[in-house]
Amino acid sequence: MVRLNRNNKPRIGNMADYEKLTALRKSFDPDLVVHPLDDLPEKKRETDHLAPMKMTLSVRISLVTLRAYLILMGFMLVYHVLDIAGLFGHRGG
Amino acid sequence: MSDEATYFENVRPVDSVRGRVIRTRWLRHLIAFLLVAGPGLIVMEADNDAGAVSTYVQAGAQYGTHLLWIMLLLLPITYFVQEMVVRLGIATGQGHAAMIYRRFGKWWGRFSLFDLLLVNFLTLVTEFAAIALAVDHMGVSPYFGVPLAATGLILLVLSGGYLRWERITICLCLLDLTWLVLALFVHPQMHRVIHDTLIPHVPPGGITAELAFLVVGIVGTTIAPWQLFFQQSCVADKRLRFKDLKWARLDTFLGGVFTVIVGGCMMIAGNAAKVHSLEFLDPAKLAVDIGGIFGPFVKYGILFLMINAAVLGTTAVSLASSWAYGEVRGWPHSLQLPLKEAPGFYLVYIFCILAAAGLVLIPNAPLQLIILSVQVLAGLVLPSAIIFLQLLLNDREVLGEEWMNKRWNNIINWTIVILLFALSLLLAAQVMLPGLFPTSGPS
Repeated sequence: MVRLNRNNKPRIGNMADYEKLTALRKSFDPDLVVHPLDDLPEKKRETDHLAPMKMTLSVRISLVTLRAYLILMGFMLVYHVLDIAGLFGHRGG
Repeated sequence: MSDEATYFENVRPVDSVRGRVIRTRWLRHLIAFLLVAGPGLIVMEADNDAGAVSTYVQAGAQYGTHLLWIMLLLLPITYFVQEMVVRLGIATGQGHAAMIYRRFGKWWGRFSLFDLLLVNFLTLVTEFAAIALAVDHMGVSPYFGVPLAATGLILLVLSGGYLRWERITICLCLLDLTWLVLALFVHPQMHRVIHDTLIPHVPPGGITAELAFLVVGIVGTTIAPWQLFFQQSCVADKRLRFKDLKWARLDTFLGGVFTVIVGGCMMIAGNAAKVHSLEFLDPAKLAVDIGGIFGPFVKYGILFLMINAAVLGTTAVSLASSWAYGEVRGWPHSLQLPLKEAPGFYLVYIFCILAAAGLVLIPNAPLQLIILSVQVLAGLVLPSAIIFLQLLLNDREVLGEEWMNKRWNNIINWTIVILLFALSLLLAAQVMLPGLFPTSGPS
């Protein structure tokens, strides 16, 4: 049974370990069906070393637009909720 | 000796994994699918939560079967969105919140997490409000029924790992098949149902603000932000492998089909109220009303399925929150871990459930205000969540050429984003400025 570390990843140390596992997996019968939780760990796309992505102009524009949209809508929602709650006084009990 | 060394010393080619050799090709594929299936079905069917029951039944009660075609239209949309999440989860082995944090930085990470936790919590309140409503109509005090449901939901995740949670949750999903029986019980006109499912059309009365609101509600309740976070974390927690992708896609697609069929049956059940000129107030009241015509099976069936829908929605939404929070905080966050090894993860889950259940039991709590806020917030958050997803799926550094979106993926997905943005704007405008659109159809 493969054990997990505190970040829910298999306790495998380095690339050489994964190579051992790959070789091990190839030694299995090709018709063997294994539940994912019982299987040997496999190498995923490496993301731990990645920094925040470099924004292209289009991505930057998209996110700034999105930020503005969410902030505007957030304010509108807060206003609406306060209005319904009667904070502005024109909704009688 | 390190854990890694221990692990490798104990590995033997024959006994290092538990599995079964199956020589028959179709049987091998079937077993492989059944082992992988779960996250797709659960995420789709849990989306048929208490809010969905209310929306679909209301659609049926007000417009009959005329809006069934929208359900069919939403199937490919939900599938395409969730398929991206599956691909991202399998390729990285990480949850959605963790990926947003890593690739877009802390500001956007916190922003997304805050949005998610807020909408999720408000959604949970609506789930427990539905449970309170349903048990009340069954003659049980909400002060007994709601705490009982909350306790059951907590025990569900504490009682024995991912697999037990998944199996019980799948059973709850399959209970929703009872909606098909209920739909047949209320004797719909089958030719009408088939016509209204396959032929898009505007219901009699034309396009009104009420219709537009309901359509937006149907779309909003069929595709929700928590689904993105939930399925990616679920896929990562189940440790699906690259070779599982085709089965995970099939699981997601079949889950979508199942959900659309169940949602359609809810509309058909609501249609019974329209046929018998019953006024729609809420799904529990409707259950009592049409139960008076079709018998106690229909009444108690709908009330029971309302509770089931709320329970399914609650476990999925709460897990989406606790997985996301655990990922961002760097806490252990897996259903495979016992409580003592992942206390933060489980405490977030438990806190969400207890707080939402407690709020519902407070006399005169502003539940209607919360339900209204959920609709608007979910509508606001969804497009931004999908934009992050779309950007991540085009991130060559994260996914590489093999797993990132292809051109046709992007065309479809940007179309969906634009559509959802337009609908979210419409929803926000209608809720916040109710006088903006005419409220009655052409006379």
